[in-house]
Amino acid sequence: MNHMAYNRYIRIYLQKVKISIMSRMVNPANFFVLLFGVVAQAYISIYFLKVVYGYVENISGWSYEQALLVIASFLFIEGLIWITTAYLSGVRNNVRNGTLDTQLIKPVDSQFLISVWRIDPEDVMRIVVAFIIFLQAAGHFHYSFADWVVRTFFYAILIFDGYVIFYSIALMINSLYCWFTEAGGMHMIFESVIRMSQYPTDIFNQSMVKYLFSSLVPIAFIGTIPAKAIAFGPRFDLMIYANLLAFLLFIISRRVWHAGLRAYSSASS
Amino acid sequence: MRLSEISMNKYATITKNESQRLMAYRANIAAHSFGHLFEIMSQVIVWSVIYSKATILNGYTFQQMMTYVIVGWFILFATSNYGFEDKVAKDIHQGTLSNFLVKPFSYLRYMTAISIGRISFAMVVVVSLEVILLWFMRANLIFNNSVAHLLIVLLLMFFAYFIRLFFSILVGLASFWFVDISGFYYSFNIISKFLSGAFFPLSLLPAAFVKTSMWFPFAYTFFVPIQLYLGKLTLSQGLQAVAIQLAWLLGLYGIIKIVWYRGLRKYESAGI
Repeated sequence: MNHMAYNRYIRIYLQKVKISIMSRMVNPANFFVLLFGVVAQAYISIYFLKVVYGYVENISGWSYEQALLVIASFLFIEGLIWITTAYLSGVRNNVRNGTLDTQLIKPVDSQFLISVWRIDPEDVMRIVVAFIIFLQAAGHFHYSFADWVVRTFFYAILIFDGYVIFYSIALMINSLYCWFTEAGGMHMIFESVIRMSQYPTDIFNQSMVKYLFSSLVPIAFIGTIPAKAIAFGPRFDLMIYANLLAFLLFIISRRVWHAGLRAYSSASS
Repeated sequence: MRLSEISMNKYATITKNESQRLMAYRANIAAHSFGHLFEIMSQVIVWSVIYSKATILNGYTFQQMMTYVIVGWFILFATSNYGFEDKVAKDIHQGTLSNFLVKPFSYLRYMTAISIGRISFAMVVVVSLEVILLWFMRANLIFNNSVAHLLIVLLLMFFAYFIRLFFSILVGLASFWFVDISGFYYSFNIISKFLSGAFFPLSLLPAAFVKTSMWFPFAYTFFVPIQLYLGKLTLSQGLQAVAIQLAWLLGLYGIIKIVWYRGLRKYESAGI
């Protein structure tokens, strides 16, 4: 893809952002209530943690501040997913409404277009809350400036990897709609599993559960592993593993999406 | 056949049709409920880890907490109305509400009939999953054998279902004034779930907060029935809770009627 093409994709994304903000602001009352809901949901998770840590000093070796970092990482990644792809809702909505055809005939990569089909601007609040929690937790770690730079660098890369992993799994799950238009149940299972990444995955010490969440659905990369870079120090092996996993899942998800398109029978035509 | 019987048959048919319609989505509904098992699993794991370090949390033993999670899940889904706000909003925005205005139909009764159709089908899945959960977790759960307690819990659940339904309809009716109400029901669901104790027991929160939450109806839809099941409330306190629920139901019904008539004045039947 040349430089011009990249620019075109960025322009399309920015246009989508603009349209999303405009459509939300048609009804500002609803938008602000939505913002409130997003913030409330994030703070309830934190409050739960606070209540729990009122009774115990640490959970599976994680202190309160360290556990806050896990929630912050999860909120960063979840917020990024919402403001860039709205949980890939474009796939299911277009398949169900029979409007996917109109997306496919456009001279843009179908995966890109379907990913940014909807953007939820209100979820920027998740990122804002994540940032506040991150700063609040970070205040309790007394590292040198150089140490902070290295840890934050690793953290940023791991957050990006977590985002790609989350996106890839979401795309694969949503691609199922091309085969089964009523795949909402799978989506529900996915959301429930992903929500578990706001807890340190070290608490899942049962072998079967541990296997499920480290291999089958790698939720550790969507909260715990980025948080570990700040809380316990950066690890090259984890970063390389996260990079490889993100790359691999992205390639697989792209293939699944194209396989889904081949199976798609076009409800509207 | 008397006129009232014809009227009842009309709504019974709506309920039957809705539950038959849902049969087409049975696999999807089952998978949907199955998804919630992961949420329960995460709660069970988190609480198990916490209880490995503490024997009692603000009066809750491990068994009581597990019962709170497992029985609570049943109460939450048995009293759910599965996105009714959206249905009301669509009827108003797409103008399909006009169909009900020109027919000998009460919209509120129609919605109640649809809702019962939905819950009766979903109940089969929810009960099946609950039985499986109870079986697997039986060693860590408390089983209340008091028939009187169980009857009042069922009564509380019955009224809780209608309280939640009335709230959903009320939020949906906001569509008379707003083009998009997604934010309203998203935020309302989060706050009501929090105030009902569905995220975690209200007893773990500061006493002033618990006292305040008792002024709202939400605690009576979740927290209070479980407290009664766990034997933390007496039978007379349970009956008092039923009376409070009834008072809320009457109040909500009155508010729905007022909002409905005011909303109809704004209604433009757009889309027809």
